Amino acid sequence: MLSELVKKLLWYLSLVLVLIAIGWGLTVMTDRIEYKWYWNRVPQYFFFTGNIEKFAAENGKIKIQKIDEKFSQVFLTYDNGTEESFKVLTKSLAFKDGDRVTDIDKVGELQVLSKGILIEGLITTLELSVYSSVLGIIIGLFAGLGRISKNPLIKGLSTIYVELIRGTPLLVQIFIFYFFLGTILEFDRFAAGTMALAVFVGAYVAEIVRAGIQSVHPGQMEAARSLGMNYFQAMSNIILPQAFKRIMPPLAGQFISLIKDSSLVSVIALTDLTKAAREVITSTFATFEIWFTVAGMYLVLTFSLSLAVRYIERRYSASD
Amino acid sequence: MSINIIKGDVMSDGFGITEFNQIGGFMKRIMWALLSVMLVFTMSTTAVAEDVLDTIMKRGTLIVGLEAGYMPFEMRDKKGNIIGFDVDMTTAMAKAMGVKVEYVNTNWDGIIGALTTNKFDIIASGMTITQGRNLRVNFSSPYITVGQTVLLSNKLAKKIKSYKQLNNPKYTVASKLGTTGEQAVKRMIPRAKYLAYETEQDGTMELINGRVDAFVYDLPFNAIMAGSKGKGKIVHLDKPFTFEPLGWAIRRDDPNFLNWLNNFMYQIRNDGTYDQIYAKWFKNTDWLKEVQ
Repeated sequence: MLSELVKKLLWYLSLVLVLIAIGWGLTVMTDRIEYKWYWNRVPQYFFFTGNIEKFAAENGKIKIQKIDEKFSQVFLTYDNGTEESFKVLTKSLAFKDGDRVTDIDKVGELQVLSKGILIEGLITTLELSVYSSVLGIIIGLFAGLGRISKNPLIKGLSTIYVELIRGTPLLVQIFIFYFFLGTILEFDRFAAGTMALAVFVGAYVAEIVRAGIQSVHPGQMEAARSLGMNYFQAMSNIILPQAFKRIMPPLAGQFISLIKDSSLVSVIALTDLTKAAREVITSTFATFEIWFTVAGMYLVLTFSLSLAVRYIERRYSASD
Repeated sequence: MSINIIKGDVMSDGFGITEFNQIGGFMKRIMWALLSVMLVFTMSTTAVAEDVLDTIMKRGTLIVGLEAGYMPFEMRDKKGNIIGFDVDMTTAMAKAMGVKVEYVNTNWDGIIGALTTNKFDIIASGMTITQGRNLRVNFSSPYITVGQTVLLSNKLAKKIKSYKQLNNPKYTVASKLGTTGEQAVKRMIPRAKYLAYETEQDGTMELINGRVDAFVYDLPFNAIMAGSKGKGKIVHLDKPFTFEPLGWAIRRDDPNFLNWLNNFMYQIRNDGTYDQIYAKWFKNTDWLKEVQ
């Protein structure tokens, strides 16, 4: 008993040692190319207290009310009738009470804790992934059901969809969606990106759903039908819930892939996390630091999804 | 304590040769693997200041990093070869060294990273000498000076006469990721909405299709674009609003290569080679037929 525990401990120890060796090896190798690590330049791209400049939007008149030593409240009455009001730092005020302003004038500054570009990229990646996942599940569900339908039209369309989308690279699809369909139908780039990703993941989900449905014993469908349910009732009450449990692992894998594949939308000038990283690198040249940080951020996203799916699987397996 | 994998009982309280011999075969192999991995990493020597000229001579080839797309400095002709001002200059460079020349087409925003990680010897890609970049790489003396100008969508042609008017959130301005055009937009017209494209072609296509209002890029490229693909659809505000000397970038800590490059530049500027290459690409437009 004790040697079993010791054996396991030694294995874990060797795991730690291998990881340390790899980390050390990497550090030694980067020393050879004399790369200077500037980790202190990374945090400002997450959050920073910046001075944002506040401008007048139109021509008009300004009224200033001092709140305290630090802040003043600015009231702008524009010639076109609209009004605006915001706070600025007193020492940054460029006008006096009662002055006229034009639409290019800076009124003052405000110190604000703003999101850095890496956080904005992270939010874009998250939004893209969530919207296209939801859309993709819906598309995939219907396409998967279509693949096993007896109706030649539905079956034909679904099969063409799956083969076409699985057979072409995602990058090519994004280009076509944006530059071709987007110009004709006038999507904006976020919509084009989301739809391209949704259509892409839908094709894979369709096949996973089909495999799941076909893995449920045909006796289930027969029993359901003999109880008087029609096709749709049998599907939604009996077959699909069973199929769902079986397809959880490959489905999770598909959505984890989607989070990573979303980095391709940078080609249509959407700033996702990967593109944000490249933009930071062009201004700081802190290549290695940024790439490792961003890899870590992707890892946090995908690992959280992985954990969530594991939890759902455990909950569902209670019925086994 | 020794580990008896078969019986599972604790025998002695030392870790000697007998105990070592008794460790299971698999465990032993893991330990040797670990040891050898650590040995390999220890054997890596400390960095020695590199002499790129020696490396190039030994190799027999000068490897140049660039990104084909910036007309007329480097671009692909109809046959797929890379041609351009920088190509001719580096060919002359290689000839003067007595070596062959090879080009590595690299994405612009990763090109300095690729230089510092030894993917090529020199960047000759119409790269502006900026102080920010100079902190990471060395530059030769400038071989030409350009500036940023604006390509404008036709619908704004009557309204916008200068880049300053674009400094307004209702305008969308595009440029290429990682270029001085992008830096100029962020510095001089920060209020405009900015989009970064991967290539000049993507950005100008968006402009021609009317999906962005302006494209900020170097004067030579804009002039060529306005005269060819963009004729009738876009307008070129051709007064440059930045001062940009272009130079060749090399890795730091290499005074020999820098000295060679600067002397080479001085030579070709004064013996007619530079003038010949300049006239071919900037005064003449015969090469446009090869590209389009």
